Amino acid sequence: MDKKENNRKLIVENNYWNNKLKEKTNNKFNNKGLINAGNVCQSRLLFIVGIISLIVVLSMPVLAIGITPGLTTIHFEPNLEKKIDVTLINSEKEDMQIVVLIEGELNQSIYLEEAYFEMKASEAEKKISYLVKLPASLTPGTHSGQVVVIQLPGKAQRSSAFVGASVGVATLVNVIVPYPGKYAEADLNVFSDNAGKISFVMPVVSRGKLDLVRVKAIIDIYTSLNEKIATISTNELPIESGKREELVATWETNASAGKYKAVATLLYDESSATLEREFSVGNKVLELLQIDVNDFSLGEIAKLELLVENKWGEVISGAFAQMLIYNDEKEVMADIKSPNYDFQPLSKSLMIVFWDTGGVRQGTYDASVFLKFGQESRQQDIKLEVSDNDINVIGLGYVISAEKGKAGGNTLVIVLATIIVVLVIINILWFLVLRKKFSRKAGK
Amino acid sequence: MKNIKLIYLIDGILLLGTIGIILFSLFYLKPSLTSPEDKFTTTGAVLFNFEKGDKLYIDDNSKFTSPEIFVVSKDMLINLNPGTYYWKVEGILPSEIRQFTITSYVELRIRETRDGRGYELVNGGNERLNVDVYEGGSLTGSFILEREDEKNIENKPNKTYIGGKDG
Repeated sequence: MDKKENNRKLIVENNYWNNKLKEKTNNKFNNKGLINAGNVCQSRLLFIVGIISLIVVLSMPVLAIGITPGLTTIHFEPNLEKKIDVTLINSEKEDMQIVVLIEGELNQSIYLEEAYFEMKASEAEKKISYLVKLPASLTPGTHSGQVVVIQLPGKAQRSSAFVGASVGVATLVNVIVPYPGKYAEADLNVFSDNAGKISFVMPVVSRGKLDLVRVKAIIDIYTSLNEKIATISTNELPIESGKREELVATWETNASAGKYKAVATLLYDESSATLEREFSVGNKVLELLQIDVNDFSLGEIAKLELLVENKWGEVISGAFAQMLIYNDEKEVMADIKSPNYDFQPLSKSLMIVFWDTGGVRQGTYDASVFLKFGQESRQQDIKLEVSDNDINVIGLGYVISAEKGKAGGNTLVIVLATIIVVLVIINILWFLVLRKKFSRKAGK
Repeated sequence: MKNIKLIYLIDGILLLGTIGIILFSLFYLKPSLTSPEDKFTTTGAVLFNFEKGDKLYIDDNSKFTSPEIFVVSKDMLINLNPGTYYWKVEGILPSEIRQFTITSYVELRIRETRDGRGYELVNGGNERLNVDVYEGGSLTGSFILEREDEKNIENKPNKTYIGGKDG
């Protein structure tokens, strides 16, 4: 927290803005037409102060600001200069006053084109740029800086609600400096299915200047009582400097449901690293398979039937479905819930939710369906195509975590396969037997 | 001479017919991918649409060493974390492999709570956010805001909430 406090002095009080901007104006940068936050002119500064003062008398419906990308990664090169574009999103379509600041360890290496500007309500987005000028050397590892964009409170346009607080977003700049020699950076991810198959996936990035020749991992699995019950190995592979590869191991188990711990020892050439991860065997899972809407008329109450499967080997009690339906502005226009249901082990059942479509227009709406039980919540995003007499649900599939058999063929496939086999037989007969006979006869 | 011509005719019919039917079968059986297009970029959910396949594979590497597999009846809308992904579909035959990218998007919004009694901070982007809270210019706290999560906040003029990608 202390470090952050030093790095991130973001102040919204009038005096602070005044001092901060004055200080930066005195100290910093003017390079190739690019400016740091300090180069905001005095009149702009006074304007910002004035704007902030207005917040006690003006109102604001919603403050919202977005930035993309939220992260930019740069691979270190001495004295590298790189211009980076980011896009600000005016998601509420409001007039906005924006202040941009630079923070973090790399704050001396980042230069802004603009430190203050305005966005009109008609501007859905705006591109801004900053320049990263790296020094001749940096220590190995990851070095970060942040470009922080703050939306200042302003005049209300669409509501009388008052928002006094300010909101800001930060886009992160990570500079990755390779280690001398060999160095591996890894993570450990664990995926389990309901058939007792656990997959361990270790993404490994070679962060050293030299290639890794042999990389593999040995994974020990422990119970919650810290008893080792299995040891498995991943595949072995080489990884070039700067590249990312995955080590994979699977564990077929009949172990009882519960929590386990995986301890992975990553072995790369003459070095090693250890990673730990807790995981569960036999997760409780409710899965949404299908949504049907029958006898629907726009403007009336729609009955949505959610077909849900309990993939857990025990009863799941008190489960319910919640559906949030969003309008074009991503606001929740309907929040509907089903009654509570009990699911027998490995069974399918219908959950019913009702949606009052009074005032709803034809169109396509984003929606999120949550299946909730106990502390668990499983989300599925869908689209609802609403017409006068129908609601079409788009985007509903379901996940499997293990391979099943290949998909079965249909009639046309069987017909085609049969035709090909017959043709091959005819070809063989013709070219190996019949053609010779005909040729002989023709020769005579 | 007439018989030799007949033999060549039969040769031609058999060879061309067989090749034609095999090519047609391969073309017919190979899954066709509609969306997303190759190199597609977005900050939101991705709608997968295809034909002649029923298993959708998504992975963060083109070798599909640890794919997430979806059995899909018609089409599927999927929300993924930011990153570059590869996808393919399998039916009788595998499809081509396509790439798409979810670009990191950070969005914070302050709005009234639904009951109208207070205000809440909402993570409207596609990243898990680390939100720092400043009061009177000093950092007074921080918290994690998951994707699509919301948290009640104090609506004071000297408070500033700054969200950035966590980690």
